[in-house]
Amino acid sequence: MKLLFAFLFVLVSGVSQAANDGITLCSANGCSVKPAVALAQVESASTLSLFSDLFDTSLWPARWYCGTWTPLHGWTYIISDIIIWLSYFAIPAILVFFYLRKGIAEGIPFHKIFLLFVAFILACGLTHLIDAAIFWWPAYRLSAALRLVTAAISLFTVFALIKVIPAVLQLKSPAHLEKLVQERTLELRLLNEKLQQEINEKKKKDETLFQTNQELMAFSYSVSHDLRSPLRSIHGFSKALLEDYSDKLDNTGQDFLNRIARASSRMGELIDDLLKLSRISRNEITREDVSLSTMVEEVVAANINQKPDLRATFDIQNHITVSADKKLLKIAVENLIDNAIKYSSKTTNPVIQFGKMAEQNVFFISDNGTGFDMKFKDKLFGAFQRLHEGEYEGSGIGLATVKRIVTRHSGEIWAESVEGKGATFYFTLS
Amino acid sequence: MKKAKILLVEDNEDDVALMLRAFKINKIPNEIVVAKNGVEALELLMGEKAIQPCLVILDLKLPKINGLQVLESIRENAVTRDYPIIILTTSVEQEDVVKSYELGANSYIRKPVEFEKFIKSVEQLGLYWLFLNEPNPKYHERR
Repeated sequence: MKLLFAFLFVLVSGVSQAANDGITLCSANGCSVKPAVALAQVESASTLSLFSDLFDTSLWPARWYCGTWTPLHGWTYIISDIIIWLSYFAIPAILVFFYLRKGIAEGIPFHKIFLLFVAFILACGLTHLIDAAIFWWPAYRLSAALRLVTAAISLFTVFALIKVIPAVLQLKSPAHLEKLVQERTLELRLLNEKLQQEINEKKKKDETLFQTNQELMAFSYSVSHDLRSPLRSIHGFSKALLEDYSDKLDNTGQDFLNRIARASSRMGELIDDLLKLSRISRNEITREDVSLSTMVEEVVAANINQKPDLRATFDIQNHITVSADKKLLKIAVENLIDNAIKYSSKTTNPVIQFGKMAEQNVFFISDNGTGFDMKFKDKLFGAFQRLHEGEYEGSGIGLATVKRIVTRHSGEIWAESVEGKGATFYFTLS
Repeated sequence: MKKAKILLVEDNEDDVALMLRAFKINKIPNEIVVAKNGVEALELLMGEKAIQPCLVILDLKLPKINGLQVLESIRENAVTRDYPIIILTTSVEQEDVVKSYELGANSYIRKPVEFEKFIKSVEQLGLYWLFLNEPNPKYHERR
């Protein structure tokens, strides 16, 4: 930048010098202004700065009177200059129009250079206008100043252009861009096709999986049914033996028969639970707004009714509403409450809590009972998995059922416990 | 007065034996006629020597013609269509229950595994259908 100003300074001195030369030249060509007067005025002019008295025309004659002009040459000069000026003004006008219409909205690249160009062309045009006017109005001072300005703008434009050349070289041609777009489009289309194919494959797999699942469920359902019949026989005939032949059986024999009956009855319960589990997996879920708080209260009330020796205190948070399948959710809540009651039944002061966590839509049911070893937290929700075999009654299917229900609601379930201090079951429903 | 017959449609011999025992324990005096499959059942109801039972106890899972088909045939026949029919089966599959009622079953009972419960069920069933319930006077062979 500094360099540029230094250059401009030299240029200004040069122009002043040229002005002097011009006058000499003009007098040599026999202008009508007297050299003596002219020189005197030049002396005073040198004391003036370049940009003062711009419209002072006293030092020069009109160009028509400077040298000998034929009308042909003079008018050619004048008319050409005017045409050049008009064109020079029209071009930037068009460019500015273009800039205003497109540049602001779409961001023309190198817009500063663009504006510099506009200024450059305007300035050049003006010099031509003045050149034409000088034939009648010798405003050489104005002309000189204008030329200096034009020169400065031109120089700026040149430097600016040189500066942006690398960036301009980087610009892609429309043809190149078109080719790029085509390539990308092709890539995209191929990707799209691949994606569609993957989706189709996934769909097919899902369908197969769904079908297999359905078949498996139907199978487990029918097996469970078929298993019940022989169980009924085992149970029924052991009882029949006990009733009709007790006089022929000693105590041990009767005890064995009772064991058979108990075992078959228990297996019947297991099968019933399995059936429930498979039903949960097969039926469609229908979501509706359910007051989880009310549901927990109802389940607790039913438990209090059925179990006269229930000692637990319940702490149920109010106004918790969820979107869920009412029937399935009820089964889940029954199992969780049942669990909490069961595993806190040997505690001195059993407390069972239900509520919602501060974080989004995590619900919990907790007790201060036996708890479990966190080592086994993954086994908790498996079918027929029992962590307290013998100590507490149960089929080991309750939590598997709860998990299945929660999963069917696209929710999650997990548990935390400190052994001997209780357990908390957390779940979400979406 | 001669007691009306009960038709038991059941393919499982153990279940038949247990059922007879349950009737005996509950002192239900009606004669029990057993059909071991659907064809036999329809023959007994609509054949040449057709009986007029006061109650039909029908299992669903039967060889040849299944229980639902038997039920449908009974309801379609002008003579038999008003017979009280109790479905006594292992299945509580919703589809089976709904279908049974659609076809005109009067009752649907699931066979319990425990014999005590089974006896209790038969007792209540007998009490209700054979004593409490007023039979259709259309059939003279009742009770």
